[in-house]
Amino acid sequence: MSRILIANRAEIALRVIRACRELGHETVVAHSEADAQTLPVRLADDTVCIGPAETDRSYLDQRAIIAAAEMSDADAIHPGYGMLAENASFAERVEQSDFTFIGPNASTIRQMGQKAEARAILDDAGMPVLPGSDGDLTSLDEAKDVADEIGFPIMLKASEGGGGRGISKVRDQSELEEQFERVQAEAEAAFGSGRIYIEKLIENPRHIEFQILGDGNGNVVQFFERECSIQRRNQKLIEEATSPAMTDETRNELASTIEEAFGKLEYSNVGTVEFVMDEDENAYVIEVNTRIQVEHPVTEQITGFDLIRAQINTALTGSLPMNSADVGFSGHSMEVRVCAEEPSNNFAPAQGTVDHLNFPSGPGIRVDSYVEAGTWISPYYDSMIGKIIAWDQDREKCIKRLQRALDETEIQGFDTTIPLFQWILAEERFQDGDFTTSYLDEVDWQDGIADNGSS
Amino acid sequence: MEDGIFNESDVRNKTRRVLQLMNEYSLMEIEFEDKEDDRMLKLRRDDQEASPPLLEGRSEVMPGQVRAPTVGELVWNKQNGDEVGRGETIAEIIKQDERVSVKAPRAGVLTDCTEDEMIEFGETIARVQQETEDHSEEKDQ
Repeated sequence: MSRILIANRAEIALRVIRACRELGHETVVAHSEADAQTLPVRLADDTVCIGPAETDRSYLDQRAIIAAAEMSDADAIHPGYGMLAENASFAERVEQSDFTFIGPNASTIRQMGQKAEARAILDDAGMPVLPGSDGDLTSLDEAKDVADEIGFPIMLKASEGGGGRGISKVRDQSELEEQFERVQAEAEAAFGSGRIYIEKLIENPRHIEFQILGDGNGNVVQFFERECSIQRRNQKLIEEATSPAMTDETRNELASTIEEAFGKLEYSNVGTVEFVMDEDENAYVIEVNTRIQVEHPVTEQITGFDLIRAQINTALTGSLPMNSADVGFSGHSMEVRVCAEEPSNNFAPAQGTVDHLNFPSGPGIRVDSYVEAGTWISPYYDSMIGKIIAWDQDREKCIKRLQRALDETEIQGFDTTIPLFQWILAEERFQDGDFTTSYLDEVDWQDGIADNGSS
Repeated sequence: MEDGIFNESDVRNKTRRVLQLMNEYSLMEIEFEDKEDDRMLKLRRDDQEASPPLLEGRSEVMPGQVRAPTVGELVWNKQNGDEVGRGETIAEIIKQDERVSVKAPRAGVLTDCTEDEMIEFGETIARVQQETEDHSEEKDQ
């Protein structure tokens, strides 16, 4: 039995506590003052208040988290997602302070965080990458040469960016000349580095990502793909497993390529391999996320594996709790991220206390949320109230089940994104699986939800 | 205030005072029940920078209370009985290589210094008493 400190909050803190409980490990939550009354803090075996509401002085304060781990005699630290989960310096600090970091190695986090470098590493390991520059661009002339070679349209991308940030689309030579220096300056300002590289732009791709788990010694297991194309400004709204656009053939091919490539890289702990996929099912890797992701539940629902338990086991024992052959999938799963935002008012975040709350349940419905009646949705943190996840035997049934669940859901105190989800789930193209990342720009959801009114 | 005549500056001053009180105690909302008139009045903050509702179980901040500004190992520079000036560093909190000063919130005599070596953010670690206070009126922290 170990003692695991969770350096995060809200639903992911609760998720990790649940996995720890099931494994028989003790839990400690390092939390801000504003979260002192939240469910994960009440459930943990021990708690340490590390700072005020502002994340810079609490959840992002590396020294405070290590101090909390020392005070509570923790053996390991789980960073959750967001916050310090992909901060290589933090992972290093954890390791140097003699705690086990429940996640990939600091060096992997650092490598995959430098997007141009990561691209080259993935290419060498045998992954299909988008045509692009060989590492960072050293000059505008080099940029022009690369663009000519691979053909417009292209993307200028910040090497230290990620998650859809620091990307500029360039359609021709003159735009490239105009934008080159500006993009460098923006990258410097946003990420602390003006290093940029080029990748071919696939217009309106589908966003496909594969879940992996490695032991750091060359053994890697993949858990199939998720499709996360329903996005707004690079924020995912709906995720599903498996992708309605992927054939078994492509899936199996990608699965074995991934296991081989990441085995070669000796990938350790969880990761998500992100692809863009065009209409001909050509998939190209664009980045690797070295953490557990928000949408991990849909993968758990179709494979039957608990990814948080698996990552904890792998971190503490050094071995994978399963091998490739053990992993199959069944049925279809879909998740919506319910946020306290007003879709009809440009998704303005709502703030306030939850007056009344009734989450759905019943067959095939899972809810991952820390929110209760009385929970204060604050301006300090993201506006996600919870994730509602459905599983059923096929995609059509899954959609109906999720619709049933959303119809039952009662959240009072402010507006939520539920009406938008209800509209999307009933919309023809979505039901046909006919969408890409530009879906929300192409359908008339604004009028759609205005007609229906909020629920 | 004269009966029946609305005195604008009086209302403004008193309202400002109410807002100050709300800020001091980190209140989001105040409710008044007027039993005689059988009326209810509610005052509610509506600003984006608002602080959380007063947390249950969290005691009011007493004057002179010294709360830890961060988490970590507590190291005293002063001790019980010492006279301290307002803003004077009375202790340090160490978290790895960083040292954060703990300062006296007001001038007076330092008392009730905690013996805990590791402290959490917001924990009360001492009090600075002033001579004019009557000790028997002090509430438990």
